[in-house]
Amino acid sequence: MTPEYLLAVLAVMTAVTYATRVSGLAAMRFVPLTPMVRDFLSGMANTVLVALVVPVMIGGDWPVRLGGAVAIAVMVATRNNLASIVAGVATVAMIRGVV
Amino acid sequence: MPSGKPLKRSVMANHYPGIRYGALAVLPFCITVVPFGIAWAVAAQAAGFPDWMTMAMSVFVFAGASQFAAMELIGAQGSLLAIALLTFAVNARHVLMGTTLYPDLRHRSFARQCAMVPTLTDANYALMQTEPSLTRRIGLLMAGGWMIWLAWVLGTMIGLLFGGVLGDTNRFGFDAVMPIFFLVVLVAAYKGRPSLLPWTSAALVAVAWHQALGGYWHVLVGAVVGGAVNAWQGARVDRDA
Repeated sequence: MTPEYLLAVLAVMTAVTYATRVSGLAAMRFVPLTPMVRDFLSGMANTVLVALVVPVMIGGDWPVRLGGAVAIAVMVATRNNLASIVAGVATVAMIRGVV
Repeated sequence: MPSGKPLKRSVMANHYPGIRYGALAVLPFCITVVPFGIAWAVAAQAAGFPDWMTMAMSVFVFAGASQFAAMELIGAQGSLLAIALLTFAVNARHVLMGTTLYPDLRHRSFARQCAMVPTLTDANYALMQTEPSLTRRIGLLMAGGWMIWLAWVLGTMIGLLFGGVLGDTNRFGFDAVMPIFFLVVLVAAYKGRPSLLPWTSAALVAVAWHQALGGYWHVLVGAVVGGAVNAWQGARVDRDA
């Protein structure tokens, strides 16, 4: 890991990551916002989170799965973001502390 | 803001009235970003990264998952092309997030859009999904992102300085914060029947792809399929403010 190599890595990763952040907006300049495109985008706004989180939950250890279930239950009951996250994470921490 | 007394507001606050809201709304989540930054610094130090590189990656790349993912490859002197591809695969979800931001940002110049998205992350993006006010969504994207960036850099710094003392931060459940946070956001964003089919198809496709092929592309594929199902379903969800 020479400094030259690391600097090149840094430049590449910075450029690629920024490109991912801006390219969606850049591409949409050339796509007309028809109702169908809007439906696609508004649907994808949520399904990107679904596609991100469901495999993590399924692949996770059981404290994480249980913590997720607790968070969902608290959220359904209270509609309070923060309380639900705290409850879920506390569940994970407690189980890991006990086991 | 107290009325009557003319308060001098910054140019930023005049142009982006949601700035203050965005900065404050992400604060609770920043508390969880710090330990994630600590974990990154500890892992990078263990992998033999010089501290300046660990810090520079947090400052400039600012995408934790890809930093973790690339760590091994960098340690093994992987080719720049391989590192670029891995980084793209892990961060490809940003491309989709960017397209969904377009309706919110379409009236701004491309240069301004470019200046607004360097701090697009999973956390402020997720918070935007349940925020009905356009002004506040912009505030979350910008100021929210800046605060998350600060927390990420601060966490990295703490990890570099004191990581050895803190040990494994995962025992506090910090690694579960982001997935749990997304679940909670999804519960809030769930609209009943119209959400059912797109979400289920996204989940099934993502899980099947992930089980069969591993890697990172399942997020992209699952999300696109879910979006397509939503478009096909024609369930118009109006979130224009």
